[in-house]
Amino acid sequence: MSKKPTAEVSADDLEIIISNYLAKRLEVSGNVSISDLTRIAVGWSHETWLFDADWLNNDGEHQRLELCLRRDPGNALLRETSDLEEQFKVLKCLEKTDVPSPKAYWLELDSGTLGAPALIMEKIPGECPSPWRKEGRKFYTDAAKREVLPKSFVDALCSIHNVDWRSCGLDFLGVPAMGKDFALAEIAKWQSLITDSAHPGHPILADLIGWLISNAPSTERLTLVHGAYRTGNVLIKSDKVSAVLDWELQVIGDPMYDVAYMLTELNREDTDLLSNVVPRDLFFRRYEANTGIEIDEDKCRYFQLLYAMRSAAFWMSAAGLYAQSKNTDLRLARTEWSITVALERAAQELGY
Amino acid sequence: MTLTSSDILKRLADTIRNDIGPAVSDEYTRTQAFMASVILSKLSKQLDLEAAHNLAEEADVEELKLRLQTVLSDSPPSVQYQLNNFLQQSHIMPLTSLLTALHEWGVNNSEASDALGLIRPVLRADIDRRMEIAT
Repeated sequence: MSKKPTAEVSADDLEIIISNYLAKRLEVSGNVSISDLTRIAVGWSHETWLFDADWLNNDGEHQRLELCLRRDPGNALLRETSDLEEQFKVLKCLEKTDVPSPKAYWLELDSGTLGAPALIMEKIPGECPSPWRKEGRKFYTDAAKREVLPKSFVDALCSIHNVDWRSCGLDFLGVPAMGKDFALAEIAKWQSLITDSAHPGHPILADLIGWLISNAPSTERLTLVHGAYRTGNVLIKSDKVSAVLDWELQVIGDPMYDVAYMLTELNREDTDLLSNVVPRDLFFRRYEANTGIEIDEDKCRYFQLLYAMRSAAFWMSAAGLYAQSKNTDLRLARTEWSITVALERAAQELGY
Repeated sequence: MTLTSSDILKRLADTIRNDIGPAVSDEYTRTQAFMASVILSKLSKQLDLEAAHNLAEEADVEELKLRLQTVLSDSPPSVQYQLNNFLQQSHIMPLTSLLTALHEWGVNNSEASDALGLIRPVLRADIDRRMEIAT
């Protein structure tokens, strides 16, 4: 955790800003006390702050909300593809479904209100061990042995794919036509990010994109797709998924896009457990039974190549933000070499 | 004794990693110090290998030029245009446009497929060289 001030506002100032904001929103005549304001040092797309708000209502009764604030600093990774307004709308739609997700309270697009466009949502209890760290991987290995989390992790994905996305209003995300539209739209989205990054690229990327366009699979069933469903993007409490986080890449599309992300070796380290926690057999059995969707491994292999392109696009965008002096975070500068790793992976997947 | 630029960068990286970073208490700033160290290490390696990598790339490109001219002699104008552009260069980057043109032509076409078969080993060699720095 870090209490580093943001570019626009210090933690102390932010505390006052939030307090004043909530007093207005909650129509409280007295003070709203903000405690434990902490910036989470994860994620590159938005600032995330956790805090508790306490106040007395107009009847003098103590009230408390545990909250999470996401702010768009205006220079973060992926802000072109995921804005807070969309995240807010998605969370609102998900409140009507079985998907474990935080309740969204308020959206403020005016920078003058909370110092930057921001969304305030429920802070759901749970932990989010990083699968990229040794202690995180140990957490998932141990949880896999207890056999509760693997089932819960699969069930949460099933709940996403089982959402009746039209009736809960998620069609605002855009609905691709049946056929190749979904795959081609994803390719176009990441191509656009690459173009915006002004990165010179590499011929392997052109080879990959050419292959992806020529081999785009047909999508015959559309579901809500999370877009980055893996450990590290869910909160866990008592060995169960308490919330699916990171609603930044969701689309209406082919459910195999998420399944491919589950199956990819990129999301596990030194283990055969999918996403570091789910035995492969369990995943296939439980996913197909709970969704009625048969896993198409050929299509998943295609989407894994699309993920290689997406990774390259992410890293190019990140490196571009640094190169164009839009963001001084050195983690972004370091991604210049991550592009190479993504392209090497793509070459391997293309068979060379 | 004079240190090379690469050596200086390597030493800077080590100092930041071992002495400066651990002395920083704020997590964000400490992470930035660690990243600075990582980046300097990679730049040091890049400087070290640059000359050898450039030579290898030029040699690969020269050989590829000769072979592609034969394979793509009957290709459509869009491919010919990108091939000609590549023939005037000594590095692999113009292959980006050539590959796009080849895929548009269609890799089920035997000439395009043969060309891909020649280009891909060169790209493999290039990415292997880049991986020496990246990892």
